[in-house]
Amino acid sequence: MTEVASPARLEPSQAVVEAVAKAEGVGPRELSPPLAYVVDPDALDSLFDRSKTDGVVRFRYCGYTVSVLASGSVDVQTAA
Amino acid sequence: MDTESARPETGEAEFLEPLTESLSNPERRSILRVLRDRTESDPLPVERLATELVARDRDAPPSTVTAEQSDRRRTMLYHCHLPKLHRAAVIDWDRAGERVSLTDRSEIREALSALLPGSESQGSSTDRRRGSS
Repeated sequence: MTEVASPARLEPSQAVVEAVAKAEGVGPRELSPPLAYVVDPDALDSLFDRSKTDGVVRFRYCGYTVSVLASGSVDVQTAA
Repeated sequence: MDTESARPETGEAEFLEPLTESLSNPERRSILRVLRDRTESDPLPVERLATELVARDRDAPPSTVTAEQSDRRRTMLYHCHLPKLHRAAVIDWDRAGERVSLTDRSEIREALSALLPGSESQGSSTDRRRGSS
């Protein structure tokens, strides 16, 4: 339960909201604003869905710096 | 080329682009079908929308869908699909009250029925026949 699920199971956008919610200690739907007001979740999900093996997308959301890796894993750090 | 200047300045169709963008996504098409096919006029609780979406996918009655099964669906409604449909002005979304309904704007409703055919008339992909046991 400590890891964000694998890319086969979760779209990056889902992985992001679950990771940030976990870091905040709240439920995924308690995060405000919705993710779509910060990044386009469709774009995020389509970015790495075609056999891309590297690259990273980074953005701020709810006070965290969120990094989505091409592998599908999501890293969440408290924004400086 | 300057394509912007070729667009009509009346703004009469300015809702079309966000609407068609919204409809390019299968989940959002399903959401709009659920909202359109309702007979009740009161806003639909988002929880019930998520349940209905799962039920349609499985071709099973909504009563068989558990909250756990629709939970992740509901999360992405909140984070992705409802904000986008709201921005496209095709739905009214009470974010705090977690309720949603189709917009009252007649021009959008008309565009929607042209872009999203298949309630009773066309059968569409779901092919459900309610009430014919």
